[in-house]
Amino acid sequence: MRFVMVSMANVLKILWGCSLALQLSVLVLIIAKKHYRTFPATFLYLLISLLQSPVVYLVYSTWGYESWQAFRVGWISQAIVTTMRWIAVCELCHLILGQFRGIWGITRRALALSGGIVLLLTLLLGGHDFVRIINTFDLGLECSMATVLVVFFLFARYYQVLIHPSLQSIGIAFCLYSCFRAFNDAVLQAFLRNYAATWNLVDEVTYLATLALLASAVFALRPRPVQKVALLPRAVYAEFIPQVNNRLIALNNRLSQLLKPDARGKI
Amino acid sequence: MNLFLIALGIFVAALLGLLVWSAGRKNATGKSVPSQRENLSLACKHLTNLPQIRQALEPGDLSYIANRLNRRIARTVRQERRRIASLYLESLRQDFDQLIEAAQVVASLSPKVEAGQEWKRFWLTLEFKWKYRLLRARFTMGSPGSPAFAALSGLALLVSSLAINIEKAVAEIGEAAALTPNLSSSADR
Repeated sequence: MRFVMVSMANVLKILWGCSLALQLSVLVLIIAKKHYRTFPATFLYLLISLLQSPVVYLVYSTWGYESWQAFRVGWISQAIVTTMRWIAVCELCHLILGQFRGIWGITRRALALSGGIVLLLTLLLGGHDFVRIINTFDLGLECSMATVLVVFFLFARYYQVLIHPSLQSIGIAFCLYSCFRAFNDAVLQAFLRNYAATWNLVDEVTYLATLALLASAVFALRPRPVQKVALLPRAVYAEFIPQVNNRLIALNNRLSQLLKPDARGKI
Repeated sequence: MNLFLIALGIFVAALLGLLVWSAGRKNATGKSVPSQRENLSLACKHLTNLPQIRQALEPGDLSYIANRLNRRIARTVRQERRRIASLYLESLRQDFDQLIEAAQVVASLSPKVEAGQEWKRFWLTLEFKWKYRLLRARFTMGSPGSPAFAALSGLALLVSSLAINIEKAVAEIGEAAALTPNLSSSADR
C-alpha cells in the first residue's frame, strides 16, 4: 500500500512537471503569436494556473499535504483559477457569437439561464458539510461551465455559425475538462479521503490532456480567427421572419389535416 | 452507489453526447457566413416535378389497371406509386430543411432578433418534423389514411410559398450586402 502511495506521488510529480512545461509552451505560443490581444482572459487564466502550481507546491512542502493550510491555499487558489477559466469561457463565446449581435442577445440570456440553473441545482443537491461544501461549489461551477459550453455549441449549430476549428478545439478542451472534473469532484464527494489521492491524479491527467488540446489549437490559430460579418438592415428580419413563422403554422396545419383519418385517399 | 453520483454521471454523459453532436457535422461542412449568403438563392427544386408526380399518381390509372389487369399487377403498381409519393414527400422535406436553414442564416445576420419569434420558429420546425415523420410512416406502411394527391400538392405549394418569401429576403440581403460591405461586428471594434 505504501509502495502504491509513493509511486502515485512520483507519478503526480511527473505529471505536474509535464503540465508546467506544457503551460509554459502554450503561454510562449500565445505571446509569440500575439494572441493575448484576442484572448486576454485565456492568457490570464493560463498564467494564473501556471503560478498556482509553485504556490501550492511551496505550501504542501512547508506545511504538509494534509494540513489545513494546504487545504485552504489549495482550494482558494483553485477558486481563483476556476473563476478565470469561467471568464475565459465567456470570452470565447463572445468572440465567436458576439459579432452576430441579434442572436448573441438571445444566446447570452440562454447561457446565463442554463448555467445559473445547473449551478443552483448542483449546489442544492451536493453535500453541504464542512469538508464537502467547497468541493460542491467547485462541482457546481464545473457543471455550469460545461453546460454553458454545450448550450453555446448548440446555438452555433442551430444558427449555422461557422466556428474556426481552433476556437472550436479551445471550447471543446474547456468543456471536456469541466465534464471530467465535475465527475471527479462527484466521486470525491462520495468517497472523500479514500479518493483524495486518486482525485489529484485524475485531475492532473485531465488537465494535461486539456493543455495538449489547447496547445494544438493555439498552434493552429490564425492571427484573426474571427471573420468580419456584414449584418442586414433591421427591417429584413422584422418583415421576413414573422412571415416564415406564419407559413410554418400553415404547413403544420396542412400536415395535421393530412394526418386526420378523414383525409384519406388512394395513391 | 451514491444516487447523486449516478445522476451526475448520466448528466455528464448527456453533456458529452450533446457536445459531440453539436460540435460535429454541421459546423464541419466548411460553410462560412458569406458563402451561406451566396447560397441563399434557394428555389424549391422539387416543385417543378409536381405535374409529373400528379400524372404518376392519377387515381384513374389505378382503377383502369385494377379493372383491366389482374390484382397482382394492380398491387405492384400501387406499391410503386406509394414509393414515388414517399420519395416526393422526402424531397419536399429536403426543400423545407433548406428553407429553414436559410431562415436561420437571415436571423443570425440580423442586428436585432426577437426571442419570441425565434422560439416560435424552433417549436414550429420541431412540430413540422414530428408530423412529417408520422405522415412518412403512414406512406411507408401504406395505411388507409394515406393522403390523396390533392393534399400532397397543397403541401408542396406551401413549401414553395415559403421559398418565395425567402427569395424576396435574399434579394434584400443582396442589396444590403452591396450597401454595407464593411459593416464590422462588435468583436472587431
